Amino acid sequence: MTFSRGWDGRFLSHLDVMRGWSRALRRSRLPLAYSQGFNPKPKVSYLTPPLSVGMTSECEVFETRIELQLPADSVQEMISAAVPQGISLLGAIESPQDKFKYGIVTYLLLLRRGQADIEPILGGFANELASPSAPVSISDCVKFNFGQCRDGHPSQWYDSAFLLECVLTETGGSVSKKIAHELEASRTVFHFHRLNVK
Amino acid sequence: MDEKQKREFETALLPRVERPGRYCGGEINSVAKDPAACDVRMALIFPDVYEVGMSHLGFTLVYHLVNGIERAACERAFAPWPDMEAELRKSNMPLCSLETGTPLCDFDIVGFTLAYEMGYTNVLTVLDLGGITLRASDRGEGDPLVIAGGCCTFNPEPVADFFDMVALGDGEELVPELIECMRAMKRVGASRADILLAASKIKGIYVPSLYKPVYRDGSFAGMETAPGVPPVVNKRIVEDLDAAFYPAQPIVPGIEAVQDRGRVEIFRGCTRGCRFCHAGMVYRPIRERSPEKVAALAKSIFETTGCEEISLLSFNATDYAALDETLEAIDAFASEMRASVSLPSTRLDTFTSGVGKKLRSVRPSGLTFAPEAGSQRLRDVINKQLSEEEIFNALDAAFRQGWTKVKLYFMIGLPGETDEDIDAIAEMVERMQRMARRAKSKRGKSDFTVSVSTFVPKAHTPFQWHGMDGAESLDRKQKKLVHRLRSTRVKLNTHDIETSVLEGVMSRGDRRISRVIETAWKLGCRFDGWTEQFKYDLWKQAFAEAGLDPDAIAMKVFDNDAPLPWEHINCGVTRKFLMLEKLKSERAMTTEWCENGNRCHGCGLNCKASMQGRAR
Repeated sequence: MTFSRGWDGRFLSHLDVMRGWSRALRRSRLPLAYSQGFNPKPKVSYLTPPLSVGMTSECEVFETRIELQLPADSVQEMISAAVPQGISLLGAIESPQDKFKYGIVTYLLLLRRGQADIEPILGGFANELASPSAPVSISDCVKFNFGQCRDGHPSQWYDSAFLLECVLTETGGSVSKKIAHELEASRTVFHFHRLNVK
Repeated sequence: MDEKQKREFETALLPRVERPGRYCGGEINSVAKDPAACDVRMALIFPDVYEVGMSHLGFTLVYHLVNGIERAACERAFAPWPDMEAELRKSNMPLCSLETGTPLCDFDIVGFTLAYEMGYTNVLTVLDLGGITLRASDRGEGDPLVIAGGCCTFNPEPVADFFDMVALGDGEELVPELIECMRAMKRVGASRADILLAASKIKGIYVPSLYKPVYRDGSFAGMETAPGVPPVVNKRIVEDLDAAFYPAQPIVPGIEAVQDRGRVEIFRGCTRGCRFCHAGMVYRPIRERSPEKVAALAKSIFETTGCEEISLLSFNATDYAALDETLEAIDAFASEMRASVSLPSTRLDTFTSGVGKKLRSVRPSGLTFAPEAGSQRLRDVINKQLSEEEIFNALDAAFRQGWTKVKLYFMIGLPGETDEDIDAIAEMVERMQRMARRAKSKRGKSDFTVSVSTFVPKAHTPFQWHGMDGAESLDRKQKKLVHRLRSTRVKLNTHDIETSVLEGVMSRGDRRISRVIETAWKLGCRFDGWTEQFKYDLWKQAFAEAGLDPDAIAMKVFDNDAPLPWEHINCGVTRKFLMLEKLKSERAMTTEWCENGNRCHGCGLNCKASMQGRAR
C-alpha cells in the first residue's frame, strides 16, 4: 500500500499512524492475516522510515497480508473506504517477492522566510545530503499531495521551497530531523513534506 | 479564527507546543456541521487535556447525543496545556473549537464536564481564553450560557459563581430538552434572564443565581430563594437505558487517549452501599441495559471504530444479571474480528465464579482488589462487605489460575481509624505475599502494587458530616505504612496529602470557595490534578486572601442537624437514610446489600417499586 499523510495528519506520530492503520484495516473487513498471541494485530510492516511528527508525505509504504487471493484494486477499494484520520490511500499492488530497500528520500522544504536563512544551515549537512537544495517555485508546490486544510492549500502560507535529497542511513531519515532542529532553533517557520523514496 | 490567525496557529503555534495533535481534531467519526445550517451550537469542554477528556464516556456521549439532533451542533475543546496557553496569550488568539475553529464565545451554550475537582482552575483558563467572562453574574446578552454537568455537580457550590446553569444527573433526556429550549428562546429573541428562567423549568437544571447562600458566624446557614423557585432541585434519572441514546459510532482519537478502547456501559448505579462512595450514592438506582442492546452496541463499535478491545463499563460487572449470556453474544463476533472484551470493574468473586472463563475473547484486566481497609472492624464501619475469608479464597483461586500481578487499593484517614487499622493493611499485604509464594506460580515472581489513597468525605454520602483526617495525621499514617512495608517487595503508591486536602475543600465546600479558585487561578494555578503542575503554596495564598483556612474547611465536622451547602441538590438518596447509615457506621454495624430493592433499606430511590412498574 502506498499512502499519503496529509496536512490534517501531520501531527500524528509514527505510532499513532500504526495504530490508526491497524484499526482501519479492521474496519475494512478484509480477510486479514493476524499475529498470534493475546493481542492479535493485523500483520503490517512499514517499508519507509518512520515519518517525524509535523511532516507530511505522499510516499509512505506498508505491506500487509490477507488470507484470500483478491485483486489489488478491490483491496484498494475496501481499504480506501476505511482509511485512518489524515491519511489517503494512493495505491495498492501485490507485493513483489524480494523486499524493497530504500536508499534516498526526497523532501520538499517550505519556508516562511527568504532563502538567506537556509543556505548556511544546509551547508552544515553537505556530507549527508545526496544532492544540495534545488529551489522550487511556490506555485509548483500546489501540485504536491499535501492534502487540503480548511482554507485552502497550506503551501500558500510559505514563501519559498526547496528540494532536499537525503541519504538514508542506519538511523533512518535523521538528516531531515537535524535540519528541522536547526530551523527550529532559528525560529524559522518551515514545513517538511516527503516527496518520494527510492 | 480569521485566515491570518489560522495561518499563525497552524504554522507557528502548533509546531511549537508539546503534542500538537491535542488541538487538531478531524478524527474518524467526529462531526463537523456547517454552522450556517444549525440553530443551536454548543461547545463541549473537558477541563483537562485531550487524551484525558476523550477517555471520559459521559463527554463523548453528550457530543454524539447533541450532534444527533437536527440543526444542532456540538463541537469540542479541551484545556490547553500551559505551553499552548502561553502561545495563545502571546499571539492574542482565542481558544477555539476543534471542529470548525470557532472561538468559544461565539457558541450559544458552553458545556463543561466536571469529572473531578482538580480540574476547576482549568475551567477558568478555558473561559478566559475562550473570550467568556469568568463570573456568571458579569455576563450579558449575547454571551454563551455556561453550563456544567458530571459527577462533581452534586456539590456545585465551589464553582457555582462561574456557571449560569448546572445539569444534574443523567443527560440523555435533559440535554436535548435544553437544546430545544435554547432553540425556541433564540427564535423569539428572548433575553438572557428569560432563557435562564425557562431552562430552570427543565427537570434537573439548577440555576445558581436564583439561590443565594446565607452565612451566620462564618458558617453556611441555608439558601435563600426567590418566590416561585423550587427550594430543592432533583437530579434527572433515565429510566430505560435501552431506549436512551448511546454512541454506537464513537470518535476514534488520533493521538492515543488514556483509555484507548471501545466501551459499552452495561448498567448504571450501584447499590452495594459502601459508605464512603460518592458514585454509589449519586448514581442510584440501578438500571441495566439488556444483553441484546449491549451486544448490538459492541458490534457497532467494533465495526465503526476498528478497536481491538471493548470494555464493559459499570460498577461491579459481576452484579450484571446476564453477564455470561452477554459475553457469549459478544464473543460470537469478537473472536472472528480478533477483538476482545474486558471487564475493568469486577469484584473479588469474579475469580471464584469463573465468569467468561470458557470464552477466548474475554480477558479480565488483571487482579485488582479493593479491600479499602485492612481490618474487619474498619471494613464494617465503611460497609465494605468483604470478609477476610472471601479475600483470601479469591486470591488463592487467582494465584492458582496463574495470576501474578496484583493491584490492591486501600484508603487511610477513614472515620474511626486507629493505628491498628494501619497495621492491619500491612499484615494483609504480607499474608497475601506469603500466599503467592506458596502458590509458586509458573509465570514467575508475583508483583504487588498497593495504592493507598486518602479518604475524602464527599457530599451525599453517609460520611458527608465527617471531617477529613488532618494533614499531619495522614502524613504520619502514610509514613507508618511505608515503614511497615519497607522490607517487602511491594510497590507502594500514596497520594499527595496537599492535593487530597484541596479535594476535601472542593468536595464539601460552599460558594465562598469560588473566590478562592478564581484567586488561585489568577496566581497561576493550572492542572492541579497533575502532580508536577500542582502549586499548593499559591493555593494557600489564595485561601489566605479570602480569609479562609483550607485545613479547617476540609476537617470541618458538620453537626447532625446543621444545614449543608449542597442540600438544595437532591440526588434521590434521603438525608434520613444517610444519617441512619452514619449512626450505624459509628457502631461498626453493617447494612446488607439491598439487592436492588429485594431487601429494601429505604434509601429513597424506591427502585423496587419503579422496576416492578416497568415489568408490568
